[in-house]
Amino acid sequence: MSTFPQNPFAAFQMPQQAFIPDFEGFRERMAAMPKVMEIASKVRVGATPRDVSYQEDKLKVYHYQSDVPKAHRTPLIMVFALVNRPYILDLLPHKSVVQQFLKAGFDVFMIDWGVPTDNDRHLTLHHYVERYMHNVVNHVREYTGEDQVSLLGYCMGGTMSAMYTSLHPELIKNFILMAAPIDWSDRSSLLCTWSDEKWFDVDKVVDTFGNAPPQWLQGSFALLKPVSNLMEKYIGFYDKMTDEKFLEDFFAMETWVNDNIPIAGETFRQFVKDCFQKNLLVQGKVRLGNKIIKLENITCPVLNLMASGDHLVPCGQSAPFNDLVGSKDRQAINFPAGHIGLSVGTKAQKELWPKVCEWLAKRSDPIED
Amino acid sequence: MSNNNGATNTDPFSQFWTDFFGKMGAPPEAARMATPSPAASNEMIKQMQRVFFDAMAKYCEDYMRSEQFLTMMKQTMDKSLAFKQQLDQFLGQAQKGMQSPARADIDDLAGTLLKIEERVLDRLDALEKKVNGKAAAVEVPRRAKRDAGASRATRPSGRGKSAKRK
Repeated sequence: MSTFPQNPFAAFQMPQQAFIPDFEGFRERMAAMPKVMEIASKVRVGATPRDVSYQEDKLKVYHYQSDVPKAHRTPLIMVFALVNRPYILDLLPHKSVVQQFLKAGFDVFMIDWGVPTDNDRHLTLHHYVERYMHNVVNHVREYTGEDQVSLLGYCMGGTMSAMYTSLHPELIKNFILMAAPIDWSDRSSLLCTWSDEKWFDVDKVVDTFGNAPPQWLQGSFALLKPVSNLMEKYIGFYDKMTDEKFLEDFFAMETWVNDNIPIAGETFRQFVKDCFQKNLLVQGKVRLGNKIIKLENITCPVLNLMASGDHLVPCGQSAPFNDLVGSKDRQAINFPAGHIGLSVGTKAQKELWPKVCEWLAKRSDPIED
Repeated sequence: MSNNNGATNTDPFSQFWTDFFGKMGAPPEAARMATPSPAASNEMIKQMQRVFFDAMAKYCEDYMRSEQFLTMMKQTMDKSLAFKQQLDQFLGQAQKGMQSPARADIDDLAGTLLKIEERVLDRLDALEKKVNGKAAAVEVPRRAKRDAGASRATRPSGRGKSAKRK
């Protein structure tokens, strides 16, 4: 039989000590428990000092502070998804995209959409993009005295930023798309399978729950990689639980992963229907209010960052963006990381973000003395 | 899921199990040494773990894409939504009976307020555009007049672009 292992007993030809429980290691780990509890209780996310420079309803705009003198006049606005919280871009001092840009002399702002309540279930993509984002961009322009801003959109925030840039191309100087889905004709992601019209009735969910419940969203995301999220992670934790540095990173990450928020019902309905199910964005048929999104209206320099190991947004969903925009200056980087690793990964912090800062610096107005 | 189409089309769990033990049957070079060191045995355990997790992950992924799982997911969701709808309906009726507002009433109110707000903002936008248009129309002849006057007057050389930053 070809499928039968050649030597099924080879696995058992291991030294006896391989199967003897590691009591010494277990004792060491148990001794470290108080330290583990202490680190878990002291975990602090959001590494960089910031001010709230603008507030509207539940939305806040953070303006980050830095001792590094500003080298570029064009401000940068970071737009995160409506799922989870935006502090993943500023998780810890050594895992902070915000700090990368601050160190490169940029003036950095970030949108925190806030946590929608039941009363926000009627908010649509039109409200988020045309009202909130537009107000934020105008605020930052007024605050800095600049006519244009650069946008960095992550995940769903990237999709929304693309929509905004296509509607207001005159206000955007540079656009960085980061692991953002644009073309859902690539159905390789498990999310696409689950959200197929045949299996998922988004109308029923929104009509029943109002907003998309955070526990349900979190459960779905965890199930995308069940072995990694529910088994490997904890085995890795057990292996390294005497390493303080690892524990700080682990608990910071866990805090973020478990900090899920609901998505406003009507926004969720529209996003699932127009994007996941009908793939209208690339067809130029997504409607926000009385305007239609045409990606070819985007003419500013574009940098498309993709993660080759992304299980949420496969590269095939982001890559077509560069062919759909009207920009002449467009680049793509396919980095070996996962969806989250693209922002917090050690390799990304060392290799990717300095390159991105350099790209943006070349295309931003310098501060003249 | 299981069928009788031969060995290549076995049920997913059997496939996973066979794959897992098949890969475990090929231990790393270190394991073939006569007297393996503790480091080598650790490596072997790690490899076993890796192979197990990879096989398990593949099995889970295949299963979660299968029609069987998707049907089960849909049925479970339909049932839980139906239960929630019935519960909401019952609670809504009870609240109505007590003459207190239900969540649906507040949702409707929030929706109505949002629509009113939208209409007001749209109207304000339209008015702003109109005012800007009128202002521009007034500004053009004024600027032309001012420029004509300025060209006649003698002025020192202009300053550079003023810093706009705060």
